[in-house]
Amino acid sequence: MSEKVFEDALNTLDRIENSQVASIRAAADLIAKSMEKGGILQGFGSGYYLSGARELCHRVGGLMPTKIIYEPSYGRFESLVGVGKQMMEIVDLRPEDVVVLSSHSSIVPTVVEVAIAAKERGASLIVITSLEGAQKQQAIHPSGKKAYEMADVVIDTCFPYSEAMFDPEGKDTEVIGMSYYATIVILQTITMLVMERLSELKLSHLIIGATGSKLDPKSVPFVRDTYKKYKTRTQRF
Amino acid sequence: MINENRIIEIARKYVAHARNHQRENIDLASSIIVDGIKKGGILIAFGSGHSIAGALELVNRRGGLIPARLLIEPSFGKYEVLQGYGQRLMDEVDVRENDVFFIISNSGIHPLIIEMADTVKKRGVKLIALTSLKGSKELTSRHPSGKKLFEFADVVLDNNVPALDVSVSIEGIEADVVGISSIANSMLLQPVIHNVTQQLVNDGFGHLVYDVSTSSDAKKRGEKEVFEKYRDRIYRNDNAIIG
Repeated sequence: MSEKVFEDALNTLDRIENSQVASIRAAADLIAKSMEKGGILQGFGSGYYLSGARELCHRVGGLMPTKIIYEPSYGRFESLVGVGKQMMEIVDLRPEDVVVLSSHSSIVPTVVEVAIAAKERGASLIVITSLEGAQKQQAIHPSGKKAYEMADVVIDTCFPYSEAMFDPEGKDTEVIGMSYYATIVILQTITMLVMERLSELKLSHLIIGATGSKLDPKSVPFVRDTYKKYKTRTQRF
Repeated sequence: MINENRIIEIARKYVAHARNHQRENIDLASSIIVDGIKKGGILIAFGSGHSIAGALELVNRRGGLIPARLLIEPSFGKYEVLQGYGQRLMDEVDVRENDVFFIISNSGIHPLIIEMADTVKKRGVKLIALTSLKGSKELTSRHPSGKKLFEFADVVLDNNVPALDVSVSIEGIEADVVGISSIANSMLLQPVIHNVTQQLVNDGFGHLVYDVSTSSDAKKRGEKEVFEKYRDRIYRNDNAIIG
């Protein structure tokens, strides 16, 4: 039964390779430029797209000047107008920062409000979304806006809105989203290209574990110094 | 300059790994979950730190299982190295007969994970582990028992990811970088969800799968009834001490 999953995964990878590399490159350049100026990357995703933010932030072999924008209900109230706005009021976001927002639909109110806040504060915005679906869907936020419309760079997961890759017979439903799989492949490609750029800019100390593994004691003081500089901006709680 | 398609190429490699080497484990994990759910149990998914990504793939998604919940620990991985934390956390977690516990941890060596796995098995519940077998074996357990996650599991899904979850070499950077465990894990988790859902539908348990929002009112009512039945077990706000 799993054969269909593997086939769809391979097709998804082909579609990204054939159509999204330029946008991915543009997103990576935007992030590297932001970090050069002392900005940080702030990852956001509602509900299970929290994983999208997780991909980018706080991991060994990943970028250090990063923060997850945690929405404390894990998306339970994402359809409630105002949740995103209230939350963003207590989030430290500065003009030199980049918000990377992963959202399958681009229309959920919390997601739209995070995008609005990012633009209001002059930060850059990268949106990873299922573009075809996002364009077809009616906006549901009172502003009439969709997240991708506000983005400086849009990357398409190349997956249709229905997100269906499998319809169990006898069940009016659709399960399993390859759009999430596409999202994490895109996010790690962005991470890789940002790192390459940082290396060229002699900023590789902004990569966690770049001077040897995290377990290597000789890298610890160096990492600690860099952390100290960013601590107030990247703390997890 | 680095090949822009490097991650895509790595992703293809992990599709092949799952397809060629993990199919039996995928099927076994699926049948354990189907069996537990048919008997009235729920799926409890946990991933520490960034492995929460995998746990989120298993629960709370439209088209996914209703009898499933995400277990959240409040430190976001910060306390996973502390001995005793997993034990205390599990004191507060409701695990019952016929439940299936699913732990995702690349290294499988931290005290939180070991204590959690140990507790689950002591309570007589099935445990599925998603881990890196080669990574786990290379590293030393950080728990005094010396044990690792895979040693407790009824079935191990092996993601075959390097120990420190870094896979790309970039000029000018001393160590390897870029974590691909989520990409590898997805190819093990999605087939499991796929199999479980289809099996439940085939066996007449399709009402335990969330309908999409476009469903008819009658179907939504049916779903609400199922939800009611499981509410005390899957209500998301009782996940330990979540914010």
